[in-house]
Amino acid sequence: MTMRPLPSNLKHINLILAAGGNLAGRYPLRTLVLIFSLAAILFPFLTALSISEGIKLQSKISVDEGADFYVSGDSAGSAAPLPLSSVDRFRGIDEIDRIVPRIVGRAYLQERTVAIVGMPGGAVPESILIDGGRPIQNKGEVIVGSTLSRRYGLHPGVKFYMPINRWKRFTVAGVFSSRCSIWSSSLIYMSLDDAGELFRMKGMATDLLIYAKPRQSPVVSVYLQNENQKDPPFRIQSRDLVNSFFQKGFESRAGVFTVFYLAAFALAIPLIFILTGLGWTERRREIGTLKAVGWQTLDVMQVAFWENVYVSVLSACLALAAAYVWIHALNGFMIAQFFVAEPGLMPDFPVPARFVPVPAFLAFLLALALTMTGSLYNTWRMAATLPAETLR
Amino acid sequence: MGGKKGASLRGSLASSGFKLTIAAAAAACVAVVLMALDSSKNGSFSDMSAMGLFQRTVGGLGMGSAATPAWNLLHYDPRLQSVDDSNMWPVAGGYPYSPSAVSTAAGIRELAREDLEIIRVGP
Repeated sequence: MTMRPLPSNLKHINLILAAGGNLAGRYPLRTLVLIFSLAAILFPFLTALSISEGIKLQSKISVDEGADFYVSGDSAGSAAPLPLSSVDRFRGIDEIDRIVPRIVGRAYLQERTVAIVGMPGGAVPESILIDGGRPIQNKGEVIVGSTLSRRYGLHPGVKFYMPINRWKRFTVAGVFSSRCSIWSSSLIYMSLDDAGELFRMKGMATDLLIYAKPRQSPVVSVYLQNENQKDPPFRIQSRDLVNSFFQKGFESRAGVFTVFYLAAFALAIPLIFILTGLGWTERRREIGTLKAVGWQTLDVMQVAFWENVYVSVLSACLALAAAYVWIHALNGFMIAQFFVAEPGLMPDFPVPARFVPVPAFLAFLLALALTMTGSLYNTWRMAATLPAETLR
Repeated sequence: MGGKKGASLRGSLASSGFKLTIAAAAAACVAVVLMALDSSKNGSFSDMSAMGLFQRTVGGLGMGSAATPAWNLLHYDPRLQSVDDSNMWPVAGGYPYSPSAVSTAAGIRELAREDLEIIRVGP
């Protein structure tokens, strides 16, 4: 009676189970250390990319909901305020829907830098304010960001002033919901007149927001460029230019971060493997035994490959779960400040993050490539050697 | 006896391997569920609506990975100030100490504009 060889797929399943058995049954401690070490290395990678994706989503909303053109003064290559009468230079352009003057500046509130925004009338929808507040109704009333409200006790009804102009007193009318975006957290919103008084620039605006009628942006762009030939010159930014800031700011930085991370990772892991030589003596003997009982080199390599797949899947998933919990449950405690400037040790706003499949899959590939680099060559060298020599 | 022991060891390894396979599959499922949860959370109507309303109210504000306009406005919103003047500070080695310049989530630098190109008019 002749023995029939195992069907090919059954053999592969057996090799996969053998790989799993090796990891969980024979070297459970080593496997756990390896999975946790890899997860610890992948954790900042996934956290950084998810925060980057989260901020990118909020930035996209900012660009989409913003004006079609931003016009400011030009002072020797830098942005400068311009008089409100500049609006008259664009009055005759029929393709323009509306022009809104705005003041955006920065000031100190105790030791913290805050953004000041002044819009005509200070209109604000009540739905983006937290309960207990109301929109601006009177002169001197402001809406403050959630971080400022919590940190300095600026609740509705509280009066305060800023060092930039001690004579200008404000009353908090409402507080922005922390869901608005990260940029609302340290913001003080007021009417254009109040902002002009605060910065002592009445009758001026830092920029004009120009909204074109539907599908008229290209025409408005030509008119604006023509108007810019006259004195004084303007600094004009179209939505396209703003979009290019957006693309370059996020994609190049995320790309550069990934490349640096890959380089550091690629150098570190094989080094650790080479320096420690963890478990290789026992592994050598095991491979020699397998070869002696009739295993092929390819079978040994396949088991090593599946071991790496198990470790990579588990470590990538563990890193993703840890990053998810750290950002959503702990709100990026201690870690957010490495990726977002000035959030404080415990951010008062929800740290923006998006866990998308590509970085997670990249983390798995990263772990796989590096565990392969660290183990496959050594395994092949041992498997290709005669068992008598390996077992010596 | 030895045969029984060997069979038991093989059985135990196969059983451990099966358990680890289940664990890896479960971990992958958990990862997919977390990403799906995150997607529904980020795309929730109330949050997107609040962000959209806020941005319409202020005329579009904020683009970079900075919660405040510390040091300069570029990293907070390049629409307000496209020049990174914190790089001009006389720091040895040219390292920008601006907290927003070193954040890793996004890096916004001044973009060259067409009208700043040098146009050669002579031979």
